[in-house]
Amino acid sequence: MSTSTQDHQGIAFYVAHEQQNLRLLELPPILLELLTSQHPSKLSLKSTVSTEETSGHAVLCSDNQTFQLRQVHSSNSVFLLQPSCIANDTDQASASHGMTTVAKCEATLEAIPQSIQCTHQLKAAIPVLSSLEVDNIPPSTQPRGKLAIFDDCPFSVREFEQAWKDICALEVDGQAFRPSSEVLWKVWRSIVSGCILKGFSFDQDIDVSSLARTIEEDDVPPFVMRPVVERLRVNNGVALHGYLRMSPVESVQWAGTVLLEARTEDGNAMSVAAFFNDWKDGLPESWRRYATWETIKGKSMQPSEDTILFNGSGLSAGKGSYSITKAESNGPQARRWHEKFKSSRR
Amino acid sequence: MPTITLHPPDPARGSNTNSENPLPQLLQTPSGLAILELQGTINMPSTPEENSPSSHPAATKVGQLIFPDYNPDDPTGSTAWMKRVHLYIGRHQRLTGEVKKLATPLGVIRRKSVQADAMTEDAEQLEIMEIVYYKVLFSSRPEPVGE
Repeated sequence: MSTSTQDHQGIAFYVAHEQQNLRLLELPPILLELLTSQHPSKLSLKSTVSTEETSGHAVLCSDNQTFQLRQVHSSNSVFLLQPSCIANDTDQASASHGMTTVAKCEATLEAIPQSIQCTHQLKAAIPVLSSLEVDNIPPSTQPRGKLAIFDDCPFSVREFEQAWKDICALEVDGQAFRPSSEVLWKVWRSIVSGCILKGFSFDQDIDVSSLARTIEEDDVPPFVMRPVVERLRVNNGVALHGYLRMSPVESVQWAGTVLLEARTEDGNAMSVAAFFNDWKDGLPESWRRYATWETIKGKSMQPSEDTILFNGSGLSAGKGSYSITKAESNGPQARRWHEKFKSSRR
Repeated sequence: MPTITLHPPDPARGSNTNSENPLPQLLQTPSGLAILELQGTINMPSTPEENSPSSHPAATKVGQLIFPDYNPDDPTGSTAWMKRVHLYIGRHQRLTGEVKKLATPLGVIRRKSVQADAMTEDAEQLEIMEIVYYKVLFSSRPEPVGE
């Protein structure tokens, strides 16, 4: 047998005795763009914990996007080849150039862009702060902070940060909480009355520290208030020297949603008249005109003509039906993504 | 759940490959990795014994890969050559296939060798070694050939 590089323009084809463990990942346009850009960014693989009901699934995250990973099997054999220079058995002197298969890939990973309800998932994963008497919070045996919660959430950093902000989540002594809608409504009422007391105009920049001191007397701790004003600030506004402005329509909508959730979370609708009455009552005078059906549309539903109900569209708070809430009770099984795939291959 | 970092391809990945790449230009990647897909499997001769001499090759030659219509000096840059590729396995079997552009490019993932001074031992890291845009596909059964 000849040992030249190309027999009849052919390329010697070898199979390596030791095959490497390589995997193939399909790169949809968004991922390809990220990876081939001038400054390609790192991606991260996260997974949910497998429970008795659901097996954990792996996701791939960029900074701001999440992709579900799915394993696609092919009946064909897929080999990865690498150029090689192999010393020849019979003729030690001549080495032969060719291509060598260095890995056989059993399956390809498909990355499917995913639009997920991060807010619902995060809500379900964080313990609820149902009272403003924060001194009475029972110390948790296994306090889980923001970072630990993030590790268990199968979505990207930015999606997580947005959801964290959306639900006004906070950390006390290394333990993450989300205020219940009841608590959020109380905080909102305190912010409004605090501003009135201080003579702050709602359509101008508000001195947050001063407001915080005022409403602390109302038993609202600053660390519960701050996430709320951050949540409601004008989006492109910059908190200069502790001043920020709240966005009128968004604040009104948020307050209405929180109120409705607090009152009808148990599934019992309330009267439309009573809802609008309480909603407007809780708003600064100049913002009451924003309290309309249009504003609360999408956050509410009407079981009958004169009743209204919170529309959580999805998981109800605190039920913990999402698997990540069970993270603590589960051991470290099925943590590694490749082991997970191995078991799902059957 | 620990988060596993997946690193993008190393921009310098092409600089340390010393083997000459015998594939047509189109199939070449910076790291040299290429994808070949075929129906069925390659039945390997039994693995070499442990006590064989250390000079034993790390790979076994199983055949020849041929691009019969490929001409690297073709000035027209025609892609007609992609339609026909042969893979001879042993002396008596031939596969006929083609070069295909992948509808979705593929990233080749491997475990990243983490240096000893890395922060934690268990921090598993992965990297995309290469992004591959084409594959050589043999979708039909082998046909017998004479010598």
